[in-house]
Amino acid sequence: MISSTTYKSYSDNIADTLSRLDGVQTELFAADDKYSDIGSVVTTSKSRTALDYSAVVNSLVNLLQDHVERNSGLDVDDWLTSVSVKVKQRFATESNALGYTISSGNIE
Amino acid sequence: MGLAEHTLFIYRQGDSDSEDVADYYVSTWDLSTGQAVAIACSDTEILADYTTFQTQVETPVLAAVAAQAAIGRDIWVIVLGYNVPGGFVDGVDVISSTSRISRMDHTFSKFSRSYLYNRQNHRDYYDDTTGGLFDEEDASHAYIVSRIDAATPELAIDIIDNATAMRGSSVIPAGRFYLHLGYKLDSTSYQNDLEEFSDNVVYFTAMDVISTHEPHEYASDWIFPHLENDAFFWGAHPVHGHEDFFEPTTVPRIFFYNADDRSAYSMRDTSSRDWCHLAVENGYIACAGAMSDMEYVASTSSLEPDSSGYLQPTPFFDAIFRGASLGAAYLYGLEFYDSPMTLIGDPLISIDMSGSPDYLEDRTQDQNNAEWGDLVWQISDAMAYSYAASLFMDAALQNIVDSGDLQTELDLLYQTNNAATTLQGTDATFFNLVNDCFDRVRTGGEVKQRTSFLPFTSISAALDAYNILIPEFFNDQQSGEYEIGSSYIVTEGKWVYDFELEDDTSDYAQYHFIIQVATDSAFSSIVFQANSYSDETNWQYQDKWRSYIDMPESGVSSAFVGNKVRYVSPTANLTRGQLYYVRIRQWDVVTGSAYVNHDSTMIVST
Repeated sequence: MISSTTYKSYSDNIADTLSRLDGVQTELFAADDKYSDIGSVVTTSKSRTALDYSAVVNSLVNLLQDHVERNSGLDVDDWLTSVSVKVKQRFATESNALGYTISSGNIE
Repeated sequence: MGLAEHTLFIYRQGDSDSEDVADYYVSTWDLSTGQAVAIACSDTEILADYTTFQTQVETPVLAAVAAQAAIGRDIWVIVLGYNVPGGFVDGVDVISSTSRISRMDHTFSKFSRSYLYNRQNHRDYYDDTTGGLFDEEDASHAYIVSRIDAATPELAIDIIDNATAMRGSSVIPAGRFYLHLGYKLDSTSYQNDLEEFSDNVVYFTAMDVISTHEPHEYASDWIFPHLENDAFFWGAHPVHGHEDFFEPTTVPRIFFYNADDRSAYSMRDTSSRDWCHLAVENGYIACAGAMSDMEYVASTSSLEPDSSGYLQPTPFFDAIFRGASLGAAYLYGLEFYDSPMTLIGDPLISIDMSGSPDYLEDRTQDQNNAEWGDLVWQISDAMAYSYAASLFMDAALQNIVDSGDLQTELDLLYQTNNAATTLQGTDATFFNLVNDCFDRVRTGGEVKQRTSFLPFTSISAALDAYNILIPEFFNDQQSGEYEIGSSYIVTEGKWVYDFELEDDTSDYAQYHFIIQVATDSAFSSIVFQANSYSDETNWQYQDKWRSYIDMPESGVSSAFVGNKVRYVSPTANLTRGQLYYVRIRQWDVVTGSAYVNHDSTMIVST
């Protein structure tokens, strides 16, 4: 199964990927608000970004947490406690949204 | 409702002529009788000193305003009537009554700078409930004050009558706008101001503009031999005029201003050839002028911007076009409080320019054009975030590849690789967006030239007009059909940070800026910092046309609150796609006060 070191690096990279995708959306939303004439194009990009990219990355959160639970026999939160790994807030938010509860003590 | 409700007319106690003029004004505007108040003052036009002025004029007017407040009437406008003193001597200067009374709630401070002057983001439209642009907050900085005084009470009545005749009617396009550009002025800054007005604003009066031309190097400046069908006169003509200068006219004469140092020295001297006296005598509704030399201004601190102190035509007409009354427009066009400058005439009059080209639409166009530049950077920032997301996803993929665990690879490798590949394919999404942005300029969709409402002839022309910079990362996405000059490209690793100038003081300020860029939110690892006070190089701000111009050594005045300030890095010292923490601190060089940090993040999108 995945090592705690790889888990930490991988989850951090997923968290950073998601937060940067948040940034994409924030900028495109702002652009859309500012410039209605180009808005239609912005909206298209915004939708694609929201639906395609974030969804693809979110699925990785699910895969990772499922991998941990199947191979460790623990739920994710207990496993994080056992290996003393703290995840980034953005990763924890997505995990919680997918039903993997991560307690605050396991979040950076 | 409106400004009339907030107006107080001051006349001279025991002077029947003065009282008659006051009564006439009260009846003209249908004011209540309590809105005309007598004060015990001499009929000397220029009092000997400030102490005398305080005793005879300032203190009684303050008391009259307080008495009005006590019965529920807030006073914002004060008219100083016939035979009320027009100024006082202070050293070599004659300070006008109008400028001092305008600031009577504040300590006398000669040539102090006005917070109300030339504000770029003031209210846009006429609001009858507040009297049109001017409101209680403005009045807390300065009252609108004018004089209705003349050589005879009949002439003072004529000033009121001429203004009354103008009420409710729009400016007649047949009227001429005489604009003297003052090429031989000592003040090159004011000459530039006049040229800017000529180039960008006077067009919106829709009048026949008669202006002077630049004379030969050794020739004296052009003069107008006379005025004919003149509605407005503005400029820097020689100091004195003559009776024959004003030919008979068929249009209302509205406003006269000559930038000199004695146009308004006396309104009562029948032999005076000073411009304000002549203008009023020949039917002008209102005029402005100085009572003495304005050169004191030039000796103020070098930290403050150079200024002639003369009335500025661009903010004056900006306010007029937005529906401000004459008195409010005058205040908005005046750089200094407590100065020799004075306003003669009825301050409540508004000048209806409704038949003119839409000035406000043109200002909106400037705003849209500037926002097109903002849009470019927002899309480039989105691209940079996407680029960074792709890098992190690549790193995640590498984590799995390097894991050395078969089960981990079986469970995660395929989908991680799929995600990494998907994020690498974002270029196509942005390609359309980038090219559509450029296409707006070519087709004139939203980016049009000022005044002509036409598309720009080239991308570079649009970039040049507003000093818009294009990130290299953004430009790399275009199809190749848009030629962008290298001077407009911010190359990879350089960066631009812009922010909105904040009103940190609610008073006049001359702002400088400190920027710090760090890799952490605690700013313990600062990778760059600059102070515009130490070196204004690479600092810019949006001027009144929303074009970025270089910041002067003096910084940026509070008039530009709401406009953007930006720092353009001279070197490629940051990394594309990396997030940095930025904080800006404004401080006022006039008072030395530093204000709170404004924190944000910035992604390098070049």
